[in-house]
Amino acid sequence: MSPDRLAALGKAILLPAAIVAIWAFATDKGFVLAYVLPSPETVLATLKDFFFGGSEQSYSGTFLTHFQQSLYRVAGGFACGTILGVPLGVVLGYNRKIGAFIEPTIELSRAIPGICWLPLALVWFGIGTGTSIFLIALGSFYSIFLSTLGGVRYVNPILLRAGRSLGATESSLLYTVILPAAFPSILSGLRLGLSYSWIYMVLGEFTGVNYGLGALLLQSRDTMDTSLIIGLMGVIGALGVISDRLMLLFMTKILRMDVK
Amino acid sequence: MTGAIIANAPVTDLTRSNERSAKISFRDITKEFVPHAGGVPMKAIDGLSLDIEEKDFVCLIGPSGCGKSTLLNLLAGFEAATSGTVTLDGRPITGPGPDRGVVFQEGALFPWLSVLDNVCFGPRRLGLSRDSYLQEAQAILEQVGLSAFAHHLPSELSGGMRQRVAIARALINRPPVLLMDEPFAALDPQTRVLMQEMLLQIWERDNRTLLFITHDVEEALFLGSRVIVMSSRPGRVLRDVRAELPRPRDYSVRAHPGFVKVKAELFAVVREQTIVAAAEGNGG
Repeated sequence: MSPDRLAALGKAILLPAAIVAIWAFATDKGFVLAYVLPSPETVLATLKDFFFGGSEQSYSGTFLTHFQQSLYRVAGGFACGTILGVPLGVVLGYNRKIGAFIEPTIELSRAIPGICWLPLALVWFGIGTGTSIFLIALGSFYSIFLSTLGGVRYVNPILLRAGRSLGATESSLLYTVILPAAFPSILSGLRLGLSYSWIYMVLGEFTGVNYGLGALLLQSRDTMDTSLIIGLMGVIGALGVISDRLMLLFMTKILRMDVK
Repeated sequence: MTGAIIANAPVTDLTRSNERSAKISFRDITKEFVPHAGGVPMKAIDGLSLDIEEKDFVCLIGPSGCGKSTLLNLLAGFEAATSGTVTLDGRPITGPGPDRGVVFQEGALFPWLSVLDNVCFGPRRLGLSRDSYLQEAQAILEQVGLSAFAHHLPSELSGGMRQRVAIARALINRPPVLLMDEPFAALDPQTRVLMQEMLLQIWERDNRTLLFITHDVEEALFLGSRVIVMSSRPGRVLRDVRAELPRPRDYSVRAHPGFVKVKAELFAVVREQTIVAAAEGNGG
């Protein structure tokens, strides 16, 4: 690692380290009640138990079970949001005439906060996976759709001219110039959509399903297990970061690929 | 004062020299731009006629906004004239096509493609097999001195290198006509001189019909075999000069007495027009 990056890392880590230090100090000296804010060591111990087992707690060693359920919902919902958002964004971005019929409706419906759909989703899909997937699809759709639309619509016109004068036909222009040029914009929409997916996953699982990281989060409030609550918040956040990095890695490999 | 120079300017009336059919022909071109918000259309070109012979290297100069880029865009097929016709080999232009290669001011390379893939973009769209164009692409990259950068991305190149890729990309389709819109304007002076010499070498070997737009009188005279000065908006042909300087040319031609004389003359005309354009701009 270069000295510059090392210095940047040092600066970035300073504030979190201070927060953890104050947290540890305050809990160690008994300034706060343990059930309100457990010590960092307790949270770590709970997480270790959650991942690898070793205690009599009901959550002991259950990470994989909950993670699989949540991942299934995130992947399903995000896939639905992508399958709807990308093609619709491409078509409406490419053809303003069709856009005039559909775009205003999408824009208006976007004003309804995603969380407002929860009661209706429960009526339609019941408690559980269906509702979660619906909410995640809805939550990720708008950012994926809008970024794709913008990327396709605002391709640098000089690139289109270059493509046409080099012999690209109007139909081949779409996949030889427009889509590759819009790719960074589509990618940022997908990243945003994925982060919304984790958010709506928690919301969907708050409806009272048995398994899932969000479900467990709500259950630990019922049992007043603050250390598991804090631990789960960290786990869900970390999964968001990891999935974002993985997608970025995967997509930039495509970005460098030759578009045949 | 303005009137005197314009009146003395020897404008060749090409509309009458119709016995030989020209490679490219602009006939009574008028181009108006209607503002997006509505209102009075702006006339960029007003009743311009111009013939370009095959294998000629024509440089168009004139003040900003004189319609020289518009003229190139009409020929490229990017825009349509409000009235009048543009023909290539007697056929009217209906849209862009690979028979007219275009090099843009900022290169307009596809940033997601490597240098080699940028160059191969044209042949691929024309449905040629990879074997048939790969060697050609490598030869052209060699010619513009970029063989070592075939697998670099445009963002990894300097401005001059990017313009060389843009030229290579346009050349590989072997277009009979090459259109260049201020291709060297954004380059530093040293790089620009080298690029001009490279372009001259390519043209002196291939003898394509070339339409080159520039702000720079010296560049126009150094490169072109014919230099056309356009008036301030609406654009008309103000001067039409044959640059009969020895070829092959290199930088030393700039010291040629004929070069210096014509350059001073054309510079005065362009300056006059730039003042007119600026005055109109300030007066609203």
